[in-house]
Amino acid sequence: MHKKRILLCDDDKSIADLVKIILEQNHFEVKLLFNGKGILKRVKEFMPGLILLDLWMPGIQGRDIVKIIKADPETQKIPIIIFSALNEVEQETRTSGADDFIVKPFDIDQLLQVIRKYT
Amino acid sequence: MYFTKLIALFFIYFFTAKFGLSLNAVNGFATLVWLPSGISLAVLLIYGFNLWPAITLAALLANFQSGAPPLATLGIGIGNTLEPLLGAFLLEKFLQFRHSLERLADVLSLTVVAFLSSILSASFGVMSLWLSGTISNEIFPTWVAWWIGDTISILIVASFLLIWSTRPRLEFKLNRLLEGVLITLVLLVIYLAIFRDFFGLPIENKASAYLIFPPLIWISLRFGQPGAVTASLALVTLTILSTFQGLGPFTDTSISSSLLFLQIFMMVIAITSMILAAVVTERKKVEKTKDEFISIAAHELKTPMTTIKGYTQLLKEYFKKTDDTKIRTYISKMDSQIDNLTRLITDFFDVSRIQTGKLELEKEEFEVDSLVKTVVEDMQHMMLDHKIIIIGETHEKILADKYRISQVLTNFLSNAAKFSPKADKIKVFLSTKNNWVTISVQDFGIGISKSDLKNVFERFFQARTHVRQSIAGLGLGLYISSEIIRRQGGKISAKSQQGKGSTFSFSLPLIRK
Repeated sequence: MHKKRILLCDDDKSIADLVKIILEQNHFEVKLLFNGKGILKRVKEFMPGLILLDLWMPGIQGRDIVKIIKADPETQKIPIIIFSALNEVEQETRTSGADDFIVKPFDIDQLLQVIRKYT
Repeated sequence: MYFTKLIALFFIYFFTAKFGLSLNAVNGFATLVWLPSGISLAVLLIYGFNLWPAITLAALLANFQSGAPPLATLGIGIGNTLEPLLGAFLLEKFLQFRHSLERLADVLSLTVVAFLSSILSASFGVMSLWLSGTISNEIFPTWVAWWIGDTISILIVASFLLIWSTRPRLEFKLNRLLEGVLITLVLLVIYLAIFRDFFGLPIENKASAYLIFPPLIWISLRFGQPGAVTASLALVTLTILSTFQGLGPFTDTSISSSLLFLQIFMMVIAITSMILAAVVTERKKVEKTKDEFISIAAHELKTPMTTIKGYTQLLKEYFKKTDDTKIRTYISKMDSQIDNLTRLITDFFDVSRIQTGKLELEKEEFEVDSLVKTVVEDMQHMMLDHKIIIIGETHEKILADKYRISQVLTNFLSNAAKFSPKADKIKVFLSTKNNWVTISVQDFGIGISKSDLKNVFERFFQARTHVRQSIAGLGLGLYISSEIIRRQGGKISAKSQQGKGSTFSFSLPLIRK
């Protein structure tokens, strides 16, 4: 697990690019995914120190992705932060087993604060 | 598979036909208790039109065995086959019929088809019997009995089979189960009282049968089509039984006339309950669609907002070290307006949820003091012109929706700041009394007039003050706050003195030990 590596999974390209810029400015290595297809494989390849995950995506849903990653012994220690515009993001975080959440739209400082908690 | 179904249909049709014919048919052949029409229509719709030979064979055999001459049997057989075939064809190819009968259009289609296809079968049947000399008098009553018997069968038996074939999802919550049991008991009691003279009540007037309507309407409204058709089928079965036993308000001089009145009554029952159930189901669907739309819209609006806000903040960072104050000011104003817009979107969708009754509250136990402290800390970061002072401690826990309570407190604090631009402090009071915890937010600003104070928690209300122009908002924050507090069994209130300031409070019940 590489502490300074972050995997971001969000179907919105503009948000993904934005977050990549912010995180790279703060010396993180960022990999972008735009949906959950084959995410477990990518996680194992990349072994990030943190996963930022959007809840509402086409295809496999964020909630199920959390389950998949937490179920695999190789990847279950990687902290997962839910990243969502949904009102119920806090509840979803708890019920899905993710570690924390960030509400969209976010404050850059808030984003970095939460990320630094886990990396 | 095809042959299995064919044989099964044959036997079912044959035995139910024999059963019907044996029950005091009018003129020997027009029975009012005729299951085959409904069964055959439902089976053709569910399993395919190509099963019709089973119907023809079974009809031919059953009628022949009951003493119809060969040509008449043939005529009846043709009529009995055409009936479900025509019905199924009309429903599927012309009327876009859905087996779940979820829409009013479906119920009306079934009703019209029931009437029309039965006319076909009754006409074929009675004509064949008359032409072959089997019957010579009471032609019209025979036709009517035949027609009504088939119609009822379709309305009650076919609908029952069709709806259950769609495997409707049943909710097994305790409340619903109890409600179902209760209303069934009520229905049963009314049936016993009116249709079985069980309690010895002097009920001879046929109109008393309409007492069955209230529980039936309840079942249709609360349990949808599955409830409606099951109740109708059960009722028809039981009332036919008691009429045969000479009990109930429909008992007339002969079994046939008794059954005729009963069947007409049952037609009204069946159609009414199905219509009600369909309307209710359609409405629920619309509500669900509305709700989904609201959620999706909220999500979609916040997505580009996220990007705009992010880049605005990056710009802010980028120009932090510049001497150009204009750039910094402009960007700063953009940033705060984005926050405003985000809050408006969230408020708007919260209100929509409250309106459609979909605001869900997730209760958890949490410590009051630490929640207040957290919210105050977060708000203090953004409110640089006011010092927020917390006075008092509760050392208590409450059971409530943590996120929503912090939303209320945040709303109070931001209002306090907004309406006291010249003051430099805001006080937050914590207290407990008699099993209630009270949180009050006091500002030292312009205050609210007595008349405005009365309406301050209403939707879209904004105080009439000259400061209003610079304060953006839909006037929803306090409305949402009051809904949140009231929904959790709490109280919300406001006090104010113009020119001196206002105090907004909310109280919540403590967890009982």
